[in-house]
Amino acid sequence: MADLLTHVLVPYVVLTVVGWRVDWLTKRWVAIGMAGAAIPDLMKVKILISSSVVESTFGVPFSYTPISTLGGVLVIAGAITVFFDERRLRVYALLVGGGLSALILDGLRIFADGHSGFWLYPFTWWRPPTPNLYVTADVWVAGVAVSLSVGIFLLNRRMQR
Amino acid sequence: MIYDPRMHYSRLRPIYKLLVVFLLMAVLFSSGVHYASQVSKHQPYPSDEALKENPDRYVGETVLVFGTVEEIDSQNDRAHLRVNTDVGAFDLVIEGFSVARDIEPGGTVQIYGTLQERGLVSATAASVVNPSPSSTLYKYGVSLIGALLVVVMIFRNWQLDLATLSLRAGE
Repeated sequence: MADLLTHVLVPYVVLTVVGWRVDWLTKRWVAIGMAGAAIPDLMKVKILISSSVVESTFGVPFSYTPISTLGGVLVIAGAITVFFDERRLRVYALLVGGGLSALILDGLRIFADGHSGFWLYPFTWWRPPTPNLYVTADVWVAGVAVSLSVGIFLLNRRMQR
Repeated sequence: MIYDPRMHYSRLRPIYKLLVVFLLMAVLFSSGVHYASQVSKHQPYPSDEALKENPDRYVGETVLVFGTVEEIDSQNDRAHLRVNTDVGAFDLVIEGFSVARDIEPGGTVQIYGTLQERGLVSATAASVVNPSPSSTLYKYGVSLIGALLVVVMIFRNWQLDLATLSLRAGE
């Protein structure tokens, strides 16, 4: 996947710009969208507890991959939304939107056979073709995301005055 | 926005919130089991485990493998790849390795090609995942910054009320 920083900066840029037009889209809601974009990265929990450990503990096959699929984003976003007492639909929509942006971004990476992973699970096992734009280790990707974000941040401050 | 006790908020008692989260995590866990049991049926290539345990069966077939580069022999356009699987690691010789650009030993790569014979893959395409061992450090470092950014953004704009297990607008 793209690095987590790039993942969260995409909704930052998009939502901040949209927020110039939409009154309710303030910083606190941009933050929710950014948190949503971090959901697929929760798959990194496998570094702490590998899937083989889970498999031998419970005696079932197991993979963490669904966390970084559309189904996983919908479920995890739901679990996060539970902790908000108001505007739950808005929270959920921003979390899912953020998560979806991260999944789509990952789908643009270089895959050796030209198709990305099963990120539309469980709705389909279709692996969308990818335009093969980058690999996560490409520093320019984070570079572009950070530069764009700094620009938007400065522009946003100007607009607040 | 200030919390106004006179306003009606649709609120779940904390215990019910935890119950809902537990149920959703159970759904997530089940999807992890379902995915693991079904995924190999939908992959057009043999899994790494299958390649390790039954290499002869797949000779002549298209494979997609992911591994760490152990050494590169540029003169003969070959490299040694170490593939880690859930049932142990195995080695492959990759022919036509020049499809993978800008990678050094210790880097990780995805190779797409044909299994010519047991232990030998002729590559037609590659995706360099980590050009060098230090790429992993870069990825973790940058991701850590991303994680901190989200945490700061959330806690600067939302307040956690432990009594009701809720996040409220506020600083």
